[in-house]
Amino acid sequence: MTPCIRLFLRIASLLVAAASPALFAQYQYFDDVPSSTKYFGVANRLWERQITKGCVAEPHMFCGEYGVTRADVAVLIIRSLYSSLIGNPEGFVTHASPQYFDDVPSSDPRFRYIQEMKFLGITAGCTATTYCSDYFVTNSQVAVFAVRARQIRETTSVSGTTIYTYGTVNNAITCPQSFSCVPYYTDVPESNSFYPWIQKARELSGATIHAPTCSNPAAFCPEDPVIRGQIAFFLVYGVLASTGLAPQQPSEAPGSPYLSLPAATGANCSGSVITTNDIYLLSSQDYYASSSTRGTFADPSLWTMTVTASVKWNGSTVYGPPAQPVKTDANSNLRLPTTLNAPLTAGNYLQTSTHTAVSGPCNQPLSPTTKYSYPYNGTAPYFPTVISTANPGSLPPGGTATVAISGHGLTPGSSLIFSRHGISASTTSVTDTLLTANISVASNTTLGPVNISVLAANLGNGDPRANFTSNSIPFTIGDPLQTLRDCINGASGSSASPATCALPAGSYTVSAPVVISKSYVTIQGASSQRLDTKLVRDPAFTDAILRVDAGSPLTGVTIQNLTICGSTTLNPGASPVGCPRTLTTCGTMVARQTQGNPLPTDFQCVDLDIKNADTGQNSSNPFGNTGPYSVTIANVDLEDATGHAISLYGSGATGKHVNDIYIHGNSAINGSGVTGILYGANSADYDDRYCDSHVNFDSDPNLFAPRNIRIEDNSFTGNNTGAMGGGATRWVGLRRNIFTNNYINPQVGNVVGGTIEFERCADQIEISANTFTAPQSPPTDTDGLELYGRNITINGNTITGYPVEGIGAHSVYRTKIINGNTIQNNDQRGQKGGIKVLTSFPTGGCDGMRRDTSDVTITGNASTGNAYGVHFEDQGQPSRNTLWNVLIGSDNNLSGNGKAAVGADGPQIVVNGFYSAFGRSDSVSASLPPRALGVDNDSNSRCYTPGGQRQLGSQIETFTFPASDNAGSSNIQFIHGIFSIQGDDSSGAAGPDSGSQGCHFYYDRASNTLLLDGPNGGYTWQGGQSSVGSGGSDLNNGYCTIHAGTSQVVTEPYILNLKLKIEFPTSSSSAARKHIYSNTGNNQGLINEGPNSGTRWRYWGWWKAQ
Amino acid sequence: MSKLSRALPVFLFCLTAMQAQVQREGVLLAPDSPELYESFFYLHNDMSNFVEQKTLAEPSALNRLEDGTATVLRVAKADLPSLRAVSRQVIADLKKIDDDRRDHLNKRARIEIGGDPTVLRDFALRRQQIVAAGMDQLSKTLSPASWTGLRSFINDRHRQGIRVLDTGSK
Repeated sequence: MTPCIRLFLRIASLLVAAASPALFAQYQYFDDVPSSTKYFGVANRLWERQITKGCVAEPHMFCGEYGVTRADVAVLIIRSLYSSLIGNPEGFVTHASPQYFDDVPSSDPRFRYIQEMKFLGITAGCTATTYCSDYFVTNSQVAVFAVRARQIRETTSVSGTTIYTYGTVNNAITCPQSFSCVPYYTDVPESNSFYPWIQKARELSGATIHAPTCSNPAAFCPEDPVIRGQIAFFLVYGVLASTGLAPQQPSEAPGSPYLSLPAATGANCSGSVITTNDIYLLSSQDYYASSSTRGTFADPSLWTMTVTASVKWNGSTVYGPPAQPVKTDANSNLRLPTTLNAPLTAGNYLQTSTHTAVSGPCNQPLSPTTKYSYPYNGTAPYFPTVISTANPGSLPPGGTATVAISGHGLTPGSSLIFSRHGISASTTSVTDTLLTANISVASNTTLGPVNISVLAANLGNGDPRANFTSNSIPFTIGDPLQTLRDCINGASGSSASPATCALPAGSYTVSAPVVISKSYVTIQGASSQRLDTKLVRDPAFTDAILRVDAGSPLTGVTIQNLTICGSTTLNPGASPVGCPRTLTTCGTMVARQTQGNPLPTDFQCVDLDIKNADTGQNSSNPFGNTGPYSVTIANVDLEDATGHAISLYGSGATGKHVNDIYIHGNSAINGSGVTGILYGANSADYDDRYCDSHVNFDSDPNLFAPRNIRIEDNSFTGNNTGAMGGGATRWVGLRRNIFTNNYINPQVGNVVGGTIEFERCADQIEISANTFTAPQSPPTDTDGLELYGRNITINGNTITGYPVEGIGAHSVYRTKIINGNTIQNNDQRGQKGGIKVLTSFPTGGCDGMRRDTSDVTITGNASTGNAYGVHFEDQGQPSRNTLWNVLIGSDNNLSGNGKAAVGADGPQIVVNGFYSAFGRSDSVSASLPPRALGVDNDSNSRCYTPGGQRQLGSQIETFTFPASDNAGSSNIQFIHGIFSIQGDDSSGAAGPDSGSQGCHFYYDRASNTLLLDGPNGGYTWQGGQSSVGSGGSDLNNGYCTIHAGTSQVVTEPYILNLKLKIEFPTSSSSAARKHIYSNTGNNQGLINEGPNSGTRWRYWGWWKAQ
Repeated sequence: MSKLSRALPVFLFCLTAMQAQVQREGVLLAPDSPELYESFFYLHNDMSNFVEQKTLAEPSALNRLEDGTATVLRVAKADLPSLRAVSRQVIADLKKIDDDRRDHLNKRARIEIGGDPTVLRDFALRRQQIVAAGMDQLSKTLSPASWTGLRSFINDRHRQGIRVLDTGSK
């Protein structure tokens, strides 16, 4: 089904529902619950919300007259409660310990529900230590459970899908405060111990809770067993609080807070329907026809479908649909009646199968009609010739081209027939499904449409196709691309009435960009069938196929209903949508520039290049808006881009912005040679120290980083270097997309990466309700989400199967919320976290300005089947970056991970946060030794990378010696350093000396005292001592002078930075290389260990004064 | 010329154009894909049942039906029994999996629990293995010409009659 049809159906259903809930179409989900059943509506509601599975999956039964056990009621009550709270009936963490009831072990499939009943106080069990799962539940007991669940619901603090505070039950409800004192039922007087609960249940659920088995309409029959049909009313009206709905019409009006429940999502709702229509003539008298339908849904119990089929002859039904629709499950083969004995009647036969709905909790409308037709001349026992497409579908007057005609039943010797003169053709090759011919159009041929059909050859031997003429397909005389360009150039649309420039159906080879240079213009294909209109890259063409660009920013541009074929050869096999995969001049790859100004080659062979687009509105919170947009891309299929499929790149050099872009409508970005969507800004390379300190970075209209990019309801499959990535972006909403099998063949410059990547200056990013599925056999250590940047929210995604982390939160600055995601079976290769939280790469840790990962909130996720549920990392090496304010809520499900729920790179990684609910595989405490982190001087830095760092410098330099301690910078006792003549340049081995002819100092933090060793070293401290900072004095030992008065100590929460201004006189042995070492100790007497056991010094490279 | 006679060709053209719009919904299955092979086995098994039922009612029809079947499937008539046997075995094996899966789902539904994803994935994997084994057996039992012809039919004619419909699942 096309997106437009799907959209239409959704809109139509909403309109119908809005107009009259009573008229809202109700599908019969259960075979034993027809619409005439009293509990039809409420049973359907329980199914739609996945509160019940029914009692039998196939056939699908509800068993409304069956009794309900205490275990059943636990499942139904808890699912109803969580469905009403957060929209997810299974969205709660199993309270595994303590095991509340002796008769409900953890191996019981309903253990988690019964535990939750007890945990929330909804049940106390049937005794203090048992639950009595198999006992049937009475009407009165259900009343108690339903009212308590409702109490929990109404006192729980919820925002979105996050539960902040659980509510409590109130067992002391009394009348008239809580319910009417007038008994509703004659058999439940005030003296009945269940009186308060039944009274309250009656008020919550109305008269519908009266049991049909209770013959007295004035009674409640409190001790009668409840039946499944009856309990549905307690759940729907009492717990879900679907108020105001008549029993037969439980559908809630759009906008109802209780209708916030989305359709079931995720892998269980992913799938497709494979439908086969076959008509075969086995002889002139025998006719076989079948319509087969199969679903590939992971959980077939979540969908139902109705299929009908028929065969028509010249418009009249010769084989009618079955009297009753066929309800299918995973497989169905509906064979049409085949009792025909008389010879067939010549004419046009059409077989049709109609799939009216894929429904159920997945709630996916699907109403396509698939057709298979052929003309039959009365004698042919074979399948006759039918053609479907011509590629290219047009030629200009005077043009010549090789045209491919696709179809089936083609025979050698076939020839082409045109509906008017001036066109000639010679067939060059024929297979059963493909005929190619050289077609020439006379120069004086009139522009316009012409039809092509195929005349079968007479092959002899009685072949009944002899001289048979196929159906005809359209062909165009003219240059539709030029017509399109002319239309765009002449367009004068407005926001109220945009101009439309359409391409007719066909496949068009593009050898020069189609430039959209006007605002308020819509570029579109022939119909919502986007495959009908294709723009195909000419093999010699390296520029963009479509470009949005003009001297001033464009807005109101729409591109829709098109397929764009980039022709890369990186993807194996044939294109699933019929795009050519041929070697182009572009080659097979273009490197993606991940940082810094991109190279010109980065934009070669981009298929859709947006260069200057902006509504100019610069809304303060684009996430709250639904438009307007400068460029809208809807129902566009970008296949096999040789470079990037879409480029969203502003430019500081040319002053062009790329803001307010909306990509949606089931668009597809598949098989890109490099990246699916590239974003960033040219000549505007923001580094993190700039954007971190830029208080208005996310909304500054003068910046060129793209802003307000909304990407929703699309699919990204098989993009070689990831689905999305590039430079800085702002306000990106990435919602409800499906990412499958990306980052499978990264191109030059990219070795390890993620399905999507947001760079270090990305700001205000929302990633919600997407599905990320890793490649089957990833060649690289690809992760799902590779995130840097700030203000990122990751909510409700499903991320599975990545060889390293599912979510990589690198150097994320300021608030980051990871909430309600399902992250499963990742990092089997990386052995780190399903969620990995880590500091920036070394360059971010050594540049003198820290880039902490801070304010990370991880709540409500299910991170399971990984090595760790959450893992903290420091890039495998100490840096001055820290992890700050990390919260791992106890509502996360971090069970079933191979190593631990929470882990860390090493014991010394600094994590300031709250994660004790899950512990940590290695303990963090002040008993751990501190760390010397490196040394910087004025013009460069050294990190923990001994061997590679060397530098020439001035005779006077300020050197920074940072050191960290888990208990805070105030716990550092001293920093000790030495500039040593001795020492191997690369490894520092054989050093340091004792400070001979060098500079050997010791700083005591508590007293703020700096000591300098004597000229021959040896810990004599003959160079004197001084305080550091204002009031300090120069310390000199003949080889170096430390200007203590202009030196300083800078403290961060966990890091102490000793900044010493040191001068090496020209008379000293300054020509010698000074190998720099340091160490540190803390108040507990612990000293950092060097790389070798027993060595306290850490080597940072050498320095030499010029 | 009357209005009707002027309009009739236009109407017929439109009708023809509409009828030419066959197989537009969805996308094709990939050649030699497991799903395509599975579809073929369902088709062939059902076609065999059709021929059998037809022959029961009209024994003299067998020869012409088998001629037609062999022609349609592009195999030698002598290879039809082997082909039929493999298809029936594959379908029987697939049905067994369907039955097992149904049992699994029903047992779980009885206690209000959904299907175990691991078990369901295993069923899907077993289906693919059965189909692959069936095709492997055909490659060994059919004559080379029939095997080539049959693959040509599956990847060509049969494939053209199949569409994969996206349900829009998110």
